[in-house]
Amino acid sequence: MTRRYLISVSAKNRVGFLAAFAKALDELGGNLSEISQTRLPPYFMMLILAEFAESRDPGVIQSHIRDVCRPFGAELTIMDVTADPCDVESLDAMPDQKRTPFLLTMTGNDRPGILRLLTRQLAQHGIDVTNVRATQTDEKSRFLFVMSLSVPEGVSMLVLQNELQQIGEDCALSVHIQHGRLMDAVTSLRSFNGPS
Amino acid sequence: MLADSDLVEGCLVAQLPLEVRSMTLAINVADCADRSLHRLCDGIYQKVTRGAARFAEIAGDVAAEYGVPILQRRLAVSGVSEIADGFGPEDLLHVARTLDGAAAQVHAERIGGFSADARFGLSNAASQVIASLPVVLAETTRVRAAVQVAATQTGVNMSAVALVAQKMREAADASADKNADASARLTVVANDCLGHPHLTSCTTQPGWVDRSIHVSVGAAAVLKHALEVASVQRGDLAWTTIAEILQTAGYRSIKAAEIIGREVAKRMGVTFGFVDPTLAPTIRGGDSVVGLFPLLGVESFGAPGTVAVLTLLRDVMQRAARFASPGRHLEARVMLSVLEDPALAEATHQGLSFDRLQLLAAAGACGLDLIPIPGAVDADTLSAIIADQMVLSVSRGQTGSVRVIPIPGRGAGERVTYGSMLGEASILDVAGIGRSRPMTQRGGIFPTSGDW
Repeated sequence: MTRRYLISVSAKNRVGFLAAFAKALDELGGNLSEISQTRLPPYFMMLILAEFAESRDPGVIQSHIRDVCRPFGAELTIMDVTADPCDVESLDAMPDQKRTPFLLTMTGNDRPGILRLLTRQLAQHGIDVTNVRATQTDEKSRFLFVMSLSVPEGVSMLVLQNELQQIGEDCALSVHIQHGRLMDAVTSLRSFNGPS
Repeated sequence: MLADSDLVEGCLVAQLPLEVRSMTLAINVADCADRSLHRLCDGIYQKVTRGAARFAEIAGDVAAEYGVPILQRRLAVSGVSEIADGFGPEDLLHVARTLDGAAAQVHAERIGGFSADARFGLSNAASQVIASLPVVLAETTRVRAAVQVAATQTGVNMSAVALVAQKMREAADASADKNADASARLTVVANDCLGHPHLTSCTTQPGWVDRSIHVSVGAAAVLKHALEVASVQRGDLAWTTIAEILQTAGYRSIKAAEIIGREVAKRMGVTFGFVDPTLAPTIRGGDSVVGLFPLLGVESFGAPGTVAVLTLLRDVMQRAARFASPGRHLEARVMLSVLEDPALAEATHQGLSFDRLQLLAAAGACGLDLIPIPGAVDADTLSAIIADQMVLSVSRGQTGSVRVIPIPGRGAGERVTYGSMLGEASILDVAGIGRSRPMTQRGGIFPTSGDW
């Protein structure tokens, strides 16, 4: 029998970290199931799903990985997720509700509370934010903000656009929402020529 | 997972002024042909209003959902000369009013199909349609008429050209109180063997499905945006790099229009037809084709260098269309529609001449479009102007069209102003008025080098 753990690691990005982590995992007899990494220079964060023998104590796993990765200054947490089903019920996986991908982009001067206003509006429509990315531009206090949205069937995009435009006007921001399919079509070379 | 590149691309795409210049629903009404005028008109009205009942609603929904405006909705039906054979001009006026009413009912800005094909000769039906044009165009607002008078394989039917020129002149006189706007709704066409879905006056030819959706691309604003982002005016970019920038922008605008067209077609349960990558003005400000020229180094439209840049623009759109919509795109053209393009109209105030527009038509622009000319231009001179353009089009094997507007009682240099889609422009002088009569009176077929 094995147990499944979700391990999160954050550290400054340095060459060799993944090699050190893999070494620690190997020494613990662990088996890596899934890994996801995101970067926020100069930092990065990894989420790792790994399986270990049931007899392996989670405290030992945590301390061994921390020891091996100590030169990288990594912060680490570990969570036993064995009891959670693999097909975790997520908004993306709900089969009976049709959802459409959209991309929301926002540019403007940074000010407190923008994200709260925006996400509250999205939540009221039952819109799931599947991904977020934001950064400051070279110009002082200006920022770029991109959100991947999963919009449930029945949401009026006209209404949503008007609401977002209103938020944009109130906060002196430029807010745009694009259909994911359109975004894909104009930025990739994939063919969309199917029977209509 | 969103990467840094997604961040940039997302912002880039969000800023693109994507739009669909026009969306045309083509409806085959050939089965409405009937010997009874009442049944014919009733059949056409029912079929058009039923077939396009949800067109405006669905187009609006898709435009809102995708955040891409559809600037104009058009209808196209089977050519009237095919379905109303045997009826005279008075009866055809009823048919035109039926089309006008049906288009209004389904909120379509224009309806094409009041057309005749006189490539090979004048049939009785074509003659009747042409004869009815002055009154039909003066009495309706949404109907767009077309007469095809030339094809590469057969040459130019000069008899038809003369007859149409005469009716164009009469249409202008019949609407003199509205600056001859009736003649602005008549197009003389060459090489439209398939029923070009994007000519404003298009018709649905045999060989099409019963209902199909076609889109035309609003690319001028996207190209302008791309040039501005790349700071092309700095002058340190190579022409090949500029062509690449324009081609990428063209690709994006074409692809976006196709996606919108396909989605509307899917929701309506009809076939998706073609994408027209033609560069043409739209009702939105800033969509002027002419506005691209200063960014590309020709500060005044019509100045030396205009032909080169115009050819570049047409070529990049053609290449972008081949890449974006293989097998589903039409020939890219550049429409210099004087009365629909404020920047072009401004150029006429600054001295852009009729001769210069003729030169540009010869160099690759699509014929002569919406050009106000003096009222003194008689039918024979009109006929010669049309003949010049038709011969050019058939020689090059390309679609060509002429829409010129002789303004009764007005002379060169005077300004004319219209409402709605048409704006304001100066009347352009035409040299040699009345000097081509012997050429146009000969009639018959003007041969060209084309073969069957």
